[in-house]
Amino acid sequence: MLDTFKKKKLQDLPFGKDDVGTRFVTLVIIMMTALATLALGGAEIILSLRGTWVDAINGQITIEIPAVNPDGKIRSAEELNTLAHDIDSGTQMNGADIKQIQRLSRQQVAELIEPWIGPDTGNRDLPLPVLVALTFDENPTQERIEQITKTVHEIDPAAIVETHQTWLDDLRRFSGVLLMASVFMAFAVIACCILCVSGAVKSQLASHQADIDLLHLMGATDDYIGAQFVRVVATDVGRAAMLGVLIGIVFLKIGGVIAGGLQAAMIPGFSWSLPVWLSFLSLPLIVTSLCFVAARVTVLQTLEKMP
Amino acid sequence: MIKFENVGLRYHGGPEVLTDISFTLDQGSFHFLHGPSGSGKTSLMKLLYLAHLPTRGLVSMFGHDVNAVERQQRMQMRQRIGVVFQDFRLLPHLSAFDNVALPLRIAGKRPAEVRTAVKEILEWVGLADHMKSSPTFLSGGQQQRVAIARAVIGKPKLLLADEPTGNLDDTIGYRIMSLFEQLNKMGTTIVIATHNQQMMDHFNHPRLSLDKGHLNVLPPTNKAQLMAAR
Repeated sequence: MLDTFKKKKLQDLPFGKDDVGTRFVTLVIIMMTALATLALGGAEIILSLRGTWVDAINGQITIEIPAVNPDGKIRSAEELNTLAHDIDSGTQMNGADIKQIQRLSRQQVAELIEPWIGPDTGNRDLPLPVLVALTFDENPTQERIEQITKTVHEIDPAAIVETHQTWLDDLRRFSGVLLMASVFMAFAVIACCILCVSGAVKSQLASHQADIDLLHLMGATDDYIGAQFVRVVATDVGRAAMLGVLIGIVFLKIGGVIAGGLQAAMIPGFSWSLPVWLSFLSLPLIVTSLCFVAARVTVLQTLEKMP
Repeated sequence: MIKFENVGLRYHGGPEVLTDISFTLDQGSFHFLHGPSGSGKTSLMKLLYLAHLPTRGLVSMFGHDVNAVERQQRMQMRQRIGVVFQDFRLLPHLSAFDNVALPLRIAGKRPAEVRTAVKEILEWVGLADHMKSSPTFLSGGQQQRVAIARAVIGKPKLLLADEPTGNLDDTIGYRIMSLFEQLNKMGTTIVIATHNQQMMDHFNHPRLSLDKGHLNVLPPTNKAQLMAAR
């Protein structure tokens, strides 16, 4: 008898587990939280990519000594070497903050432009620019860049000082848009969960109208009746959300394995830090809490309209 | 305790189903409510158990105008009313035990208290062996006894019963009526809607007689006169 009492403690209303509405909502919650997990995982990947790329470029300036001089005459290898040497020395002389000056070899330059003019460029007798990469201790200020530019132009007025700032700005903007889209998607699917739960609760309220009336006639308060709905919603949504997150994580891991096979050095690994894991694990909690609130508000608003 | 003054009730702007109903139920009174089908008995019962509010007039229960009280307070008032519905309105997914326990759970009683009270009342109505049974597997008479047990378990101030002995054999019927009499002696106000003339004659309480939405309050029938007339 005690077991009977405990088991039925808050189940005065017949919420069937095989109810079509319940099954539908459970499936929707599973799919939606899986999608939200993918969206969050996507956002994390975008953040990692941006971090990797920005770190790789930040604090670097590339000086390009063109293969032709301002008169349009092709520079000889000796002339280019002299200019590069002068620039090395010139920048080094006033560069206590410069960590490294690296002159790219003809072969390295050829590899960089290979996608545009084809393989084996280095072995052909093509005029190639000379690239000098300066790595700073910290990201140089605008004044510092202007100073470097002035020094370089005194040596070779045709030389180009590239700070990659435009590219970095574009990258930041683009990744920002992707990040916003991912976060928006996560919010949208959570909102969808809430709407589904709210609709399902309304439908359950309608289908249990007679029983609810009976409970009201016995003096049950809206809170008493609402608690029964909310408890069922919290349990069902909680389980479904956890399963959804698990499915999402599995998909992300599979994606990571596939991406790992691409040998793409610029793509970050799929190993997540503790905060990322926590964000995934908090997703069921957030979805359940929001659905809990939505269910409670819906139930209480509907019950309030009853006599 | 309960006062109706010129009460009228209509559904959704339709014609009045109850017209100028006025009566008073003192605490500890016992009344039968009778009248032909369609006379408004169910509507009057619904006003009494606060399922409806009057369209006009004053209904005062437990010292409060029911039209003026807050929703929350109305719920508390309902906890003081026990109702036996004609169609029982048992919850089929709950056992007999849990159906009877509902009013106590709603009132927030402790589980141990609920268990003792429910066992006691189910034993009294002769359903000790059916505590775990679903109402679906109980006969009409057994279901009615569960409904009665549920209505009286909270020791209500007002007990309303719609044909409470309709599905019971005479022995059980009179036993249930005796329970109502006992409750009445303990101070519970009782209104029983019934067609059972024999029952009304036997228990001899004042009658609320409804006909086409109009109410007459009749005094108890004098048993001696009744016997002489027969």
